[in-house]
Amino acid sequence: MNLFNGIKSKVWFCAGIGLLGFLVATVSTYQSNSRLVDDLVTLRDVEFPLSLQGEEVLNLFVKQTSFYEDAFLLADEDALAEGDALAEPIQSLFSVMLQKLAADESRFLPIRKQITSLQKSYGEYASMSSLNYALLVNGAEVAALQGKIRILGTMQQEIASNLTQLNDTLKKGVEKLSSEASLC
Amino acid sequence: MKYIIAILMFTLLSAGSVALAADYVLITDNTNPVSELTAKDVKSIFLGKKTVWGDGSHITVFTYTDSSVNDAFMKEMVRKTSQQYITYWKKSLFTGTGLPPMNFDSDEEVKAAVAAKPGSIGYISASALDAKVKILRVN
Repeated sequence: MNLFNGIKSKVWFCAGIGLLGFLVATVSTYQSNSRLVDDLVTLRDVEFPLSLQGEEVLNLFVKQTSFYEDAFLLADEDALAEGDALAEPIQSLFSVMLQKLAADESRFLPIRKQITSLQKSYGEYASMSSLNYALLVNGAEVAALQGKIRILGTMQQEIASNLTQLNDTLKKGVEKLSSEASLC
Repeated sequence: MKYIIAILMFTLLSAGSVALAADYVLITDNTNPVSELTAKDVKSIFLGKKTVWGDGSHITVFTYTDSSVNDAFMKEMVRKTSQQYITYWKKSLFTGTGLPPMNFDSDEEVKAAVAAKPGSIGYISASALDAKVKILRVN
């Protein structure tokens, strides 16, 4: 028996193909739209704030090292206090960034690892710098502490470079999502 | 006549200050094959920018602060005041890019350190020079 013998069957077949095409197109558009919505929500709630916070951490860190430099070169107690005072906001920003990433751990795993490692090395730097620069401000000989000061200098360069790298990654993420959204 | 006396006094004073300013010698240990350096090399060595001799061996720098010898050496060779030199090294230390040279308080200490350390360089008063160390001529 041939199903396509009659004109009616042929019409129904064509209508069926049309309906199937419509359904496929609808499902695909729905999926694409929901992905776009997800991306925009991630951009608004995670990537963009994260990028801003990354910039803020770097700015605060640069400011802090500048205060510590004044404390070291000029034995300036006020500069030391101002530098020390920035440690807490920097640590808080790291924690806020990690909380934001907790929403979608698998997607942001590399960034999460990067921030966790930065937070750890910054914690070590902050406690070591506060202690040693305070000793120098209070009259300790530079020669006696020069090994530690040099280590702090190296740590400082590494943290600044890692923060810059993190900010580049975050900025690229925002740019990528924005361009994808504008293409849709 | 007054002008002649004034000119004579000025000339004498100037000559005196030149002699005072140049009253130091650059020294190295007796085993070092190098016996002369350019002024540019001396400056680079004392600023930590040149850290090895021509044969690849490490240069150890010794300074002699808190002295007129140091002031004259820094001004003529390194083109910095003693304070600027200290700040320069403090900044290098702060950024982790360098360690300041070891510092001594007398000619004898610098001489003993240079004599004991192959590949080292330092400066002392010209009057303190003896056979324990070798003079480095500056072109």
